[in-house]
Order: sequence, then C-alpha cells, then structure tokens
Amino acid sequence: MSDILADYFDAIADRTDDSDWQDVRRRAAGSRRPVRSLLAAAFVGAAVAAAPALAFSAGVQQLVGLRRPAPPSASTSWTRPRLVAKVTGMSFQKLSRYGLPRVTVTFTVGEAGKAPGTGITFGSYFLVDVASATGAPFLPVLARAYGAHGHYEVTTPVPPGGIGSIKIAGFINHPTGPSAANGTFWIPVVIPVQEH
Amino acid sequence: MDAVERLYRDRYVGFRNALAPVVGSAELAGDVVQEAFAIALQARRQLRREESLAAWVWQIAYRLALRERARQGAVELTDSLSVLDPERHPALTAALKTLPPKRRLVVFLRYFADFSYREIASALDISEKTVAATLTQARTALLERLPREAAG
Repeated sequence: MSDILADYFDAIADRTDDSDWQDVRRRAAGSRRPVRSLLAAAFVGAAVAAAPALAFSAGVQQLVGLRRPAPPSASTSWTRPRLVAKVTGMSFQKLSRYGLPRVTVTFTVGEAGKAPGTGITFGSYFLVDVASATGAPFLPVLARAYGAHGHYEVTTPVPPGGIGSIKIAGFINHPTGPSAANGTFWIPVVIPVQEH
Repeated sequence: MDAVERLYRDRYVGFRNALAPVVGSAELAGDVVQEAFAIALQARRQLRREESLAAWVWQIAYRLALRERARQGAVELTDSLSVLDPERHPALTAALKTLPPKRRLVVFLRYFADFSYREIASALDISEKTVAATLTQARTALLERLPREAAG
C-alpha cells in the first residue's frame, strides 16, 4: 500500500543539496575543541549527569549549576594561586557558511601582579562563558580555551543581544598531580576599556 | 568511505529538512547539521556498538538545534512551521499544525529524514511500538485534513 503522506512530503521536500563534507572536516579538525566540551555543549540541558562518559567534570558541573558543591576537603595543604585573567582582544567572525556569528576572545592569566603564566600548573585549563548583554536566554555553555604560558584563545558563539559579560573559569591542577585540591573556579576578569 | 561520511552524504538533506522547523530556517538547520556531524566525527569512539549511528548523530543535531533555538530567544518555535510555505502547501501546513510538536517531530523524522521506525525509536528514546502508534495516529489525523489527491 502506498503511503499518501510520503507523496505529500516528497512533493514539498527541499531537495537542494548544499552539503559540504569538507566543511564538516574543517569544523572537526579546525575547532580543536575537545570531545568532552563539544558533547557537553550539545547535550547541555539534557540529562548530562546521566551519561558519565559525556559529562563535565564535577567542578564544571558545579559552575554551571548542575551539581551541588562538594564539601570542603580537609586534606589539602596546597594553596590555590590567586589568578587574574585579562581580556586582550575580541574579534568577531562568521565562521559558518550561514553566518552564525562567533567571537574569538584572547586573554592572559597569571597570578595577580605577576606575569602571565605564573601560578598555572601543568594540566590546568581554562573555560570561558560569554553571557548575553540583554539577558536573553543562552544555555550555560563553557568553551575551552587553548594556549600556553598564560596566553589563551577561545572561539565561541555570540549570544543573542551581544556580549554582556565574559567569565573565565580555571581548572588548576595540583602541582604534584591529581588531588582533592584540584578544582574549577571563577577567575576575576579584567576587560580593558577600548576606544573605537 | 567512513561510516560518518557515508551517513552524511545519505542523510544531510533529510536531517536539514527535519530540523528546519525546529530552528526556523533551512539555512540555520544546515549549519546545525554541519556542526553535529563535525562533533560526531570527533566523538565517534563514544558511540556504543549497539547504538544506531543515524540516531546518535540526530540526537546531537537535535540538541544543538534546541540550543540554537534558545540562543534566538524563541519561546514559541515549537509550533513554528516556517520551513513550509502556507501559500504553497496550505493543506499540509494546516494539517501539521494540528499535531502536537512531539508527534510532528516523529512525522518529520519519518518523511523528511527517512528514518526507519527503529532509528526514530532510538533517536527519541521511545519504543518502536510507540513510534508505530504515533505515526498511525499522525497519519490518520493528517489524512482527515488533506485532500485525497497526491500533492503536486
């Protein structure tokens, strides 16, 4: 028996094939975003915690409100460095074919009053949250920044209404390896006023 | 050819057409599908062996689409049918509007994305029986409102 609905949908389907596999490959290779971040971004708002392989670390879950903070650990004697982030540049771009705007934010991180890179242990990393200027809904997506020696860069979608604030979170690794002292926390961000 | 690439070449247009009503335009939907396949390309090792690749990529794409919709600040887009032109397809547009969004999504997956019942079940995390029942109900509801001759 033929399916009359199939005939209807056949008649209206947009058959324009604007696929571009090379663009997919470029996105996959060029973004250099880690699988964990990408999946978390895609799956945020769903049951992230139910899929441990795809979930953020506990610290990141706390940051985006998916998880209650763990009780303070009494076992740490390491003092987390007092880091400050400074936004050094923002450039807007249309990376996709259809013009979804994105922004590349460059920033430095280092101990307050010291050179970029100070106080950042091996294995540490930084996540950036860009919030809307108008408070428009924008799911809490943290994009991982890349770089080294205190200088980092991240490319992330521009929220509706433009950028209202930038928050940077750091996962600072314990100097001697995994420890209860590891943690993710917001870093004070300095955004210099720029004249246009 | 890689399985992800093969799926992309077979299903790109269907995925885009099925997601267009979710994000509001075919252009945005295409962008979402591109991004979803890029993620799938990077993350394919996380696909469980028993899982359908099509359903898995669809889930990524659908969640990206929901995120995109949230970015737009759209609250009422669940009822949007902007991908269909009501002037060109008045009967189908009107008929589809009578379906609840979830049932409509099953219809789009079946007829736009060419998903099998099993793939729809896996993509939406429902049973195949529910898929079959939903499609039967949707067909009945739609056919009651559509003219009997095939669309042209």
